[in-house]
Amino acid sequence: MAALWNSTTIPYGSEVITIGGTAYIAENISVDQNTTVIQQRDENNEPSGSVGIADFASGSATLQIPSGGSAPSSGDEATVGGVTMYVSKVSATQSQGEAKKCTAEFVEKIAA
Amino acid sequence: MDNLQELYLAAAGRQDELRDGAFLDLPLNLCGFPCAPLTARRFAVLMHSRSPFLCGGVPMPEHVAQFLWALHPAFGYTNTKERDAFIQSCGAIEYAAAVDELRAFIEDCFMDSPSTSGNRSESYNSWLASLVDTLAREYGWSEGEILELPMARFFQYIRLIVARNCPNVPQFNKLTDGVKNTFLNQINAKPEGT
Repeated sequence: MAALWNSTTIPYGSEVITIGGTAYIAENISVDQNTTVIQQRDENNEPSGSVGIADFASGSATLQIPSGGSAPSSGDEATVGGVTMYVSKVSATQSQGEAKKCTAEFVEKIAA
Repeated sequence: MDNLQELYLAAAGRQDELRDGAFLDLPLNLCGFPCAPLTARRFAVLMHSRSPFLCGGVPMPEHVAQFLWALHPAFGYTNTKERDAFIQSCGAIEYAAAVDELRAFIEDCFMDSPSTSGNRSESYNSWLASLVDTLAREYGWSEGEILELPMARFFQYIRLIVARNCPNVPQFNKLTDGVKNTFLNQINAKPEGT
């Protein structure tokens, strides 16, 4: 099996992310840079223009939880795909053998 | 860490081999006897006879013979003559090695078994009915076809069905996840700043 990439660490095709001081292996990482679009229409309701405003980035990932560790909590901070995010939703933990995983959703942290 | 990389690659190779192997109908030999694949029907026979290999407990020599007979190509409920002759021939099996071999075989068959969560719910039907219902509904296969599927094959189909219908349920790779877990525990054990 060919390696997808090979650094000095093990998690092929995945990324180590730290949430609340605990390292997790994240896979199926998805980060969306969202935009809110305001549409402008003329008197005949035909499109006449639009304004796009950068919205909160959002993301999701499957997290492998270390032995003896637990799933992160909503409100914890994490850097996912280069974006600083808050954990906004965490699924129930599933396990198979010694591995435990959960899915988590994230929303961008806006610097004050 | 280099050692973990090697372990990871070995685990990934073994995972692929077991998954693909489930579809190849390769000849199976356990403890020196030819065996049929562990199908849902044969698995149910073993569960029904409370085999310690599947239900927990310490397997005794007679349980080794019981397991091998359930997987024997000539297995049947009524051919007692052949069964008795087979069980007689199991007397020559080296017990401890046989237990290890059968446990490893079961471990391989169950590599892709569904993950579990803390949620418990009551069961209102046989697991076989749930299995047939899930695969028949998805693929239109008959009850007989489904019950003759090797376990290692139907676990993979169940994974695909779950992934399609519940995309947020985490997927597992038992062997490579085990190596990743070792890695994860190592990096979490490191003092900060190292």
